[in-house]
Amino acid sequence: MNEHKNIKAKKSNHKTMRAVIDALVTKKEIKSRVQNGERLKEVAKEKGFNVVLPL
Amino acid sequence: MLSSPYKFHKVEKEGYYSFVSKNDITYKCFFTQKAEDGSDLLGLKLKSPVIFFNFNRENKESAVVYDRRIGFTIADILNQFFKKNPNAIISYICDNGDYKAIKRQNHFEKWFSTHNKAPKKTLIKAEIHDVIYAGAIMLFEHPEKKKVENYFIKELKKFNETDKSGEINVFE
Repeated sequence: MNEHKNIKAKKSNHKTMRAVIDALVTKKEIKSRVQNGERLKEVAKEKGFNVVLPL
Repeated sequence: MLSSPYKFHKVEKEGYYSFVSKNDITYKCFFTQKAEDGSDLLGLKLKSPVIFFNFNRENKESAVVYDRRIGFTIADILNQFFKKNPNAIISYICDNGDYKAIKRQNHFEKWFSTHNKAPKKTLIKAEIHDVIYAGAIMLFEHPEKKKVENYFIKELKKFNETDKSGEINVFE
């Protein structure tokens, strides 16, 4: 069931659905690479994000 | 007055905030913004800055013990964020790699409900059951709140034409 829905969401043409899936994939990649020792700022930049320190 | 049970500190060089729980587990919180368009919320163009909030636990091998002070700390970080950045919108997506996204979403909602004071905020939660658990948080009086809510409703309605598992909830 989960797998079926994941495939459906990935194939979706909905703009928002695509954006959410892309964001989720990016988030997982950043998390995984940082956990494997890469630097957050560098990985985020490579994936099109700036790390901000708003506090 | 809300206080942070765990003292968090900024790790400026690496770009995150960190705190250690009583069980000696290190938590990292970081904020990111799209480099190309810092006001894009999952396809919706806004005037306000959109910041993605991420929260990771290190020491993955450590047993997870319920600790309400973690929720207090996350709430404190977000409250401080909104005091300093009242126009910003926080976006988050729960990781579902281990099929625990719904638990994460429920935790987030619980923390939000428990700590939604000073400043008062709105959480717009969007879910597609078993697939996506995400949300946006902004100040209660945020001028683009309705725009975000309407966009999420419209987009989920499209998805629900073929699959009825999408849902939007607003908490204030």
